[in-house]
This record gives sequence, structure tokens and C-alpha cells, in this order.
Amino acid sequence: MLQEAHMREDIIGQVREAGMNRRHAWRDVLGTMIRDSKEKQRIANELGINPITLSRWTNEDSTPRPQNLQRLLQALGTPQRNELVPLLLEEFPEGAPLFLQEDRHDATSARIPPEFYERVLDAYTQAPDNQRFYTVSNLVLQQALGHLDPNSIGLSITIAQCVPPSTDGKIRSLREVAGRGTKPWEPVLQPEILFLGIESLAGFTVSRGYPFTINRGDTAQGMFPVQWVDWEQCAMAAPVMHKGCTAGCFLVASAQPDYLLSFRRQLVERYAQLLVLAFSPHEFYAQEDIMLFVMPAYNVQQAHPVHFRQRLAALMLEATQGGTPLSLMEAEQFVLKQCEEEFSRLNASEFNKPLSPTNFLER
Amino acid sequence: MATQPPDPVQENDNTYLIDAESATEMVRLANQDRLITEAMGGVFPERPGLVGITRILDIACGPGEWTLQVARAYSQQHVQVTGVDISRTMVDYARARARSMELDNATFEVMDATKLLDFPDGSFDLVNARFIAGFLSTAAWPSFLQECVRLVRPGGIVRLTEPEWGTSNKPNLEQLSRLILLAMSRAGKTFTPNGSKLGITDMLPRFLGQAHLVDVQYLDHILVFDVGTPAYEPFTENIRVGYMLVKPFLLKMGVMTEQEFERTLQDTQIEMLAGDFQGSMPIRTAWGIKPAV
Repeated sequence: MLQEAHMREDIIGQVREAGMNRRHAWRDVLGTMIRDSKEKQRIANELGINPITLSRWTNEDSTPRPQNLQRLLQALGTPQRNELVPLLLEEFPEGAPLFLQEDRHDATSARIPPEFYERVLDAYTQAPDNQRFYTVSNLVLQQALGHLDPNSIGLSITIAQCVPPSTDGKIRSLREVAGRGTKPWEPVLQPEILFLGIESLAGFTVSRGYPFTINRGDTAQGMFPVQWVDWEQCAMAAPVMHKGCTAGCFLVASAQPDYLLSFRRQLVERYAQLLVLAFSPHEFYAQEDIMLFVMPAYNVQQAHPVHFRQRLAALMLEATQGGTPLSLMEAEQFVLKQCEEEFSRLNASEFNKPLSPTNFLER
Repeated sequence: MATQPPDPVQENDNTYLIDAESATEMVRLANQDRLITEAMGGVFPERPGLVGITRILDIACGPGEWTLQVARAYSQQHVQVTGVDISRTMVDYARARARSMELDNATFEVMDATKLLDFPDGSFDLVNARFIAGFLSTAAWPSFLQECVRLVRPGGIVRLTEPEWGTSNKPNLEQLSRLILLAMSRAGKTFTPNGSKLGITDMLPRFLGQAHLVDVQYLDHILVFDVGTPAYEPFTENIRVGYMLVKPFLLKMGVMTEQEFERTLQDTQIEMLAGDFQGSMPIRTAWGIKPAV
């Protein structure tokens, strides 16, 4: 506490001693940081804003709220943060309590224990093909939930997988296939027959190929696709990618606003990387093949019975009696495609055209 | 069914039905433990207050799901829980989970539950063991109980939880269950002469009494996994994965051929998808108190 107070005094002293109008200085520094488009995108994703907004800040076309500036600082590394703080205080002296608050979670909190990587690798190498997803996904979900929410204050984590393509070779939607939670969510989330298209956070993220975070209270969230459900106050999706191809994404939602601080976002991305090992190579799809439909809202899908289990049983029975038995996984994929087709036709015809993230935002 | 029984199995064969070092089995056990605890209404449904108990031993803890749940639930009461298991894979996993959950009141050690455990007499207020009939031979139960009694302090509790094999309304699933029980019978792990059922739940109160524990009581639970129940999806998945993992044991015990297994497994998977599927598994917890000196 005493050390923080001295640091605070030092910084405020720097600000007073400057003695010149440096109103534009922080914007110049930020402008330099975001000259690299990837860094600009990363920072925008962490803040849950459009990259254009960062440019508007640096051009003085808009003025950010102190809360957003605090999130900006949390998204930066220590040297950049230290450079920016005194400059921000020039224009926003009232933001001192926010800007000078230490992020008490150091780098170790964002690190997955090395022995866990070993465990996942062991599972990956030992498990037969038909048990690999079950083993690796369960291990990762178990570990991730305990790591991201050790105090059980309310988190759900889910794996959403691309629904295999039909004859045109394109991915039209994703589906949640496994999940865990802490209260108010159930410990094990039962996957429903719900399809996630471009209108969803998962679909939006997978289409872009970048992680994305959003808060429910964020005034800008109306621009981005999200269907808030139940107790969600903030959410993040990180694509599960290998060599530029995507199998799905890792979804995290918290019952606490602003829970997904920068170190937790790093963790989500790292667990998404580990989830690569849960999928088989043929389950990854090139970005150009991901052309998601707009799927109906969750309540519309839930109200439309698909009798999934009965169709699965009938298909497996027919195949067995015909002498060419299907595995449960093969039969599931076939029936899923049928259901996806039905749900995509539920929407008005204009929504059945595949959308990229760009023209979705332009709508 | 053209099968031959294997060579006579040693009565003291305490080998687990499934590879104890398998990561898939570790995951399956963790999921199953969670389901069982939920079906039972908590980690200690018969004594939720856990009065007077601060040192707990969980024998054959597996991946530590129950142990960690106890540690978390009773951390404010300064309860210290120790889990032991023969599997290095399971113990390492349980330790790592304890660290990531920031539970410093849960510790884990590698030990063989069929041998003397490396703790002094009377080290614990409560000794617990759940679902150990999968590896403990019928002949080994009395000596196992003796070791539990040694480890618990006078006035302490020995607590055992075991299932009876589940039943369903589907013929192929029932056939597979019968064959697994037959295999377990050949391996010396069932208390019925022909493996018609496990028979361990009836034996628990007797074993506790034979070990000179007093105030022996028991509480019965049932895990229902009919279609439409919360346990349906996770428990039928547990069955599917478990049966795949137990396949080597079934083949070794000569109760079916590989082809017969694959066909029966396929048929049971179809049956479990039926809209009228019903299944349940009885569970019994029995406990007794070590007399005060």
C-alpha cells in the first residue's frame, strides 16, 4: 500500500512537472502502437470494440471513457502501460484511481501448469481415435474451469465445433458439444441441438479467426453479434485453430461483469490452443470454407422439435440391418446435417445467404 | 456364445478391470464420481455437518473427484483430506487439480489399497472407500476392512460406498451387463456364485460388523438415468466409454469374442437412444464406528 502511494505521488509529480500542454501526447503514443494492424486488432478485441474506434481516439474524433482507458491499459504490456499512464492523466486526472490500480494478477496466473501440458500430450498420444475427443476435451474443460474460476463465482465454458460440411464443402454453423460450469450454471452443460451461425459470438469469432470479448453492459455491444442468455454478463470466444484452419471455438461466459480481464483472456486463448489436440486433422477447415449462415434465435430453435435421438437410433438401426453399421459419431454427423438444413430454412430466405463478418457488420 | 473360460483366476487377483493408468479411464472416473455424488445428494448425505471430523482418508481415490469436493466443501472447518491410489497417473492428476483449485487441505499419495498403508495407527477420524469392488477380490475384503479399522482412531468412522450393477429395460444392454458380471465372477470379484449380480451391497454391513465396528448403519440411493433425466446424457456416455475400456477384460475372461462385443456394443448404443429407455443403478453407503478403547 505504501509503495503504491509513493508510486502514485511520483507519477502525479511527473505530470505536474511537465508544465506543457501534452493533451495530444497519449493519442500519439497510442497511434504508434496501433500502426501494426494485428496489434490494433488484438487491442480492439481485448476491449471489445471496433478497431475503427481506436483510430477515432487517436484522431480526436471521439473521447474514450476512463473505464475503457483502464481496459486499454490492462491490454498492454508493462512498458507500454507505464508510458501511457502519465500521459492519460494529463487529459483525465479524474481517472487516477482507475489508471493507477495495479493489475494484481501477474504473469504466472496466465500460465497453464507445465505438467498439465504433459498430461494432455499423454492423453493425446495414448487414447485411441474414438476416445481422443472425450479424453482431451474433458481434461481441458476440467482444468480450465478450475483455473478460470477457482472461487466458483459463476462461469460457463463450452466447446463449439464446426458442423461438418455438406456437398458444397462449406461450414454453415457450429454446435456446442461439451461444457462445464460453476453456479449458477450446471456442473456439466448438456449440449442441446442448437446451431450457432454468424449471428452468434462463436460464429462471429470463427469467421474472423480472432478471439473476441464482449461485455453485456457495453454500449457498443449492439454492433456485435451476441445472444445473451441466462446469467451472462461478459463473454469471450477464442477459435481453435491449427495451421490457419479452424475446428471450432472455446466459449467462456461469466456471471460477473468485466470478469474477463487480460490475464484471463490470455488463459482462454491458451486453453483454446490446447483444445487443438482434441480434434482430428480432418475436423479443421480452411477459413475460406467457413461461410456461416444466419441461424434462428435460440428460442426459435428450441421450439422446433427435431427428434434428434430418435432419428439417430433409426439411422443406426437401418444401417446395421443393411449390413453397413455406422458408428455413433458417423450417424450423429449425418443427422446433424439434416437438422442444420431444416433450421437454416426456418429463417426468411434473405438470411440464408452466407455472410462474412464484414458484410454482417455493414447490415 | 462360443467362449471358453480362461485358466482359473487367482482368488487374490486384485487387478482393476480397466487399465488404471489410462487417461480415458481417469476422465471417465472423474465424471462418474461427480454423477454418483450428485445422485447421493452430496459427499456426506448421512452427516452433512461432519461434526468432530477433521482428518479424512479416501482409499482408492482415483482422480480425486470426491476427495477434492470434500476438501472444498469443508475447508472452512479445517478438514484435511488425504487421497491414496495405486495409479501414479491418477495421483498426479489429483495433485495438479488441487493446486489449480487452490486447495491446500487436500493431499494425495501413491499407495496400494490391497496392502498395508503407510500411515500410523489411528491417523484418521474417518476412512472412506468408494466403488472398490472393481478391483478388490471377494477374498480380500476382510483384510481390507482390518486395515481401515487400524487407520481410524477409536470413535472414528469407516465408511464404504458400493453399487449394485445397473439395470435397464433394454435386452442387449442387459446381455452386456450379464457378460460383464460373468467376467467379474470368473475374476473372483462377485459375491454371487454365478455372477447374477455383484452382491457387494448386501455384504457391506456384514463386513463392517465382522471388523468389530459398532453402530453399523447404511443408506441406500439410486441413480436413475432414464431418458429425460439430468443423468441420462452423462451416464449413458459413461456406459459407452466404460464398456469400450472394459473390452480387453471381457476378451481376457473369455465371455465373448471381439466380433460379439462389437455387435453387442453397437446394439446397446442404439437401444440407449430409444425414447423409452430406462436405466438405474442402486448405491449403498454403509458405515460403522470403531469402539472407543
